Amino acid sequence: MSFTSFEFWLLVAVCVTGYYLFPARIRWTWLLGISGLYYAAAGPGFLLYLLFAVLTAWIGGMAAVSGKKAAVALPLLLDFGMLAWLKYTNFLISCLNHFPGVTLPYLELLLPLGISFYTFQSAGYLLDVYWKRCEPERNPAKLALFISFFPQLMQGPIGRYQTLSPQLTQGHSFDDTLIWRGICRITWGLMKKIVLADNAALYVNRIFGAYTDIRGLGFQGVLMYSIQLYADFSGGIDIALGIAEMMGIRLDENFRQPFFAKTLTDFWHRWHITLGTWMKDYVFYPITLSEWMRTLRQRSRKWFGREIGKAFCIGIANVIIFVVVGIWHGPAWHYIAYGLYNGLLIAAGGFFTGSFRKWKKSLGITDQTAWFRGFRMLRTFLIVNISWFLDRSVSLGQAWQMFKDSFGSRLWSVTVIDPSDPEKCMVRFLTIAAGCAVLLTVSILSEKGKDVRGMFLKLPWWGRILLLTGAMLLCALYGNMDDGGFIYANF
Amino acid sequence: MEELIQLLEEIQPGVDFANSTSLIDDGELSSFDVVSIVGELEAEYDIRFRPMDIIPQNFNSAKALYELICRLKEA
Amino acid sequence: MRIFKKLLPFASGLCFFLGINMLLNYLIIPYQFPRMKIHRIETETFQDLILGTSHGSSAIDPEVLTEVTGRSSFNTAAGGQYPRDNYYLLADACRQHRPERVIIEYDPAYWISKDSFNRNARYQLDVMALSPVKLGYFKDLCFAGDIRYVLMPWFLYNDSFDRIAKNVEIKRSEAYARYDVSPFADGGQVCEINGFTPIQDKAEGDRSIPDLEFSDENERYVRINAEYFKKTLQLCEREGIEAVVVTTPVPAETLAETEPFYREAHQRMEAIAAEYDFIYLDYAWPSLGAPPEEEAFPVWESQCFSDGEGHMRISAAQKFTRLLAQELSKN
Repeated sequence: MSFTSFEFWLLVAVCVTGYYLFPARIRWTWLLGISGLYYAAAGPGFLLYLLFAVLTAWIGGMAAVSGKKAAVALPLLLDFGMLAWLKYTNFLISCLNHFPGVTLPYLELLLPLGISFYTFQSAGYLLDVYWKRCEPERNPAKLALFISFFPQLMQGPIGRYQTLSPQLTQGHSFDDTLIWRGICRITWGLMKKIVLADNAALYVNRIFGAYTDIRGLGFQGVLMYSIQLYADFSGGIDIALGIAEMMGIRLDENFRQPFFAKTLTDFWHRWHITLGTWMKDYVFYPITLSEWMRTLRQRSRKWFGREIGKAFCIGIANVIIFVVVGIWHGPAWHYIAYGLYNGLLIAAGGFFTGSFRKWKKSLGITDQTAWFRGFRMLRTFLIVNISWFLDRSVSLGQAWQMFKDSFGSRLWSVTVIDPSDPEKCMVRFLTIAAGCAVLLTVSILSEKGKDVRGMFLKLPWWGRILLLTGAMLLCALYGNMDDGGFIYANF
Repeated sequence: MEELIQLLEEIQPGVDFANSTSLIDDGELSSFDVVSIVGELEAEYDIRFRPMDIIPQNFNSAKALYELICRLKEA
Repeated sequence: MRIFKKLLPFASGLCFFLGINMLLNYLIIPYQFPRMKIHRIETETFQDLILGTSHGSSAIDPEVLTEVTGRSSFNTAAGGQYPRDNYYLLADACRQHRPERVIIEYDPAYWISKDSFNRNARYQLDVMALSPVKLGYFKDLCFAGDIRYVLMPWFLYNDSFDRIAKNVEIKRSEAYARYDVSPFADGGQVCEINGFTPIQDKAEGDRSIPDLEFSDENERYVRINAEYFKKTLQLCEREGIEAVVVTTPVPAETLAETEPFYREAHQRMEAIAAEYDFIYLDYAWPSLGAPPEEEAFPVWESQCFSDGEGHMRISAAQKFTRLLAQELSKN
């Protein structure tokens, strides 16, 4: 069920209404039922994969509390093994087929909805039990709800058991403020997706899809991709968070004005936040605390000195993390290259931390100096946009070709999506520009710590209705008619 | 405790280890800083951090870190 | 009472939103052929009912058909009409005015194309009388569709806001209340009261040859369309309706470029004909080298059509309808 489909919103309406009609102590079972229905609607066969994940997490959790490594390793292996099998087998086959004499047939494997997200979520639970950060859940139904809660199934955020499960199982009282806040957030998410992302997608699809014919518009393509990806992904997250909020459940934030980031590291603390914190807690720290990393740290201190040795080890860990992030994005070399690009740049930054500190001191610059802040934001924005060549292209060859061609005289074209109808193109372009202006305003207010939805709540009820209706009418007026779906829905 | 604060200020200059009680929560220490500190403290005090120890509560203040080091030394 | 007061703004908001959209639908969505057509099939019985696409609506003249066969006939075919829409139109007619025979115009170009944000279907759904058929149509057309398509269908016409005044004038007229065709007279295309949408002999459209092929990418659309087509045949079986499937003529120049496509389309329909009981008349087939023992249907030259796709001009359409009617009278 797509977030923009009628059946999905009917399900949400039924879910929220039913939630408050049921007695508080069994409201969680209603949520479980709705989540199961949502998942089964995608395909009854997919439900089996979800049940498999729930079963391994439940049994694994009960066993992992013993502290034995094998007790947690086996369910993790099963879960990630399932994910790897479904997502990466054909990629492996395609790599092997490049060898002379090898012609392995491709397998028909369907990727169950949200498998990347719920696999990470249940793996996090298993490790938290193993590391005694939480008690194992003895009720399999409650654990099933944590893993399958439907608003986050399609594209996250990736939740933590300790903070999410108590909220899911506690029956929250009706509070009309939460309903208003939720509806406001949902409408904002729909606007971002329908008005901004879907229109930017027209440019992205055209420029990337016909890159051999339309040359030179690479930078326009990645800029539009920035808009599309951010509006699409954060829009979907807003919808998920808004739905949960209507029932008194606070899911974790996944974005924090990422394009205001000062460094690439800062960007990854603001973009897909829950993936970043998951990687930090369950991959980065275990790697850096492992024996082989300890040995490497001691040796690199001896070879390179304290500072460089430290940066070297953290750099290695970063590269590993980001290669994993790249692989998570998809089974293709250009995604791995995308991960490497980010990892290597962040690792390189670590080597120069001390030097940067000295240069800034000698030039009398601090991180609060206005022009320097602007410079850092622009620099980071450029670095991130270059990475989109690797993310959005379908091959390394395309990424390189488009990047090279971008340094020509032709930088921009409003009519590239349909040269036969320049007026329509201008309308779309202005829609994107206006949408970005609104998004920028809201982002600046949020960055300054203002509660934008709080401002919405200060309006009288009829004012809120007018605003929300107006927003939906804008979605109808300026939205696109290509049903492109959500980018991260197939992860 | 003072020795620890001195060491921490050497590893991570510019951070107020003496007074702050929300080093992680306020973003004064990043995950890279945590890893740097862990590496140095393991070498200095001959202890082993485990993944379960890397939680905000243990790194939010020098005092919390000191108590963790004591626990790890006893183990 | 407190809960009621808290819920009142939400209920008011929903009513306001739905009300605004009903108003916009009234203002922006113009009066179109399907309103007249669906009214007629819901209130009158025809012996022959024609279903299909714009090829069918411009190639088959019910007046000529009736003249030759002596049977009453009506043309419900329209541009944007997919097999799903044909199925529900027939089901709607069968509620109270079941036809004796249905002539289904088969345009394989539709079968390979993606059907989304379908204006024609959405309008048809709205003008259909409330019944289990309409509910089934809603479920199949909209339920999994975009929320704008369901609640705000006026957005499909967001390129024609300049017609608002004209729309309101028509909807307030007697002709509209009588389901008359006179309001269509000054539009781009005329529709006659029997559903025929004739294209004048002088009309000139896009002569480019469409790019048509069955592929892995469009196989899923073919599957969906084939399923609805079979549902239509099953409905005919249940209701005792004779089914005839017709592919209208295709310009010779187009056939020359797209021969593999039309050949495969013919073979696919032959495969379905092996499972179901219906007559299949492919007026594109003879030009593709039909065996000599089959009837020699004529080859249709480009001047018979207004465009490269195959929309017949009125003179050629009436000649074709006569041919078709003679064929139908034989069986």
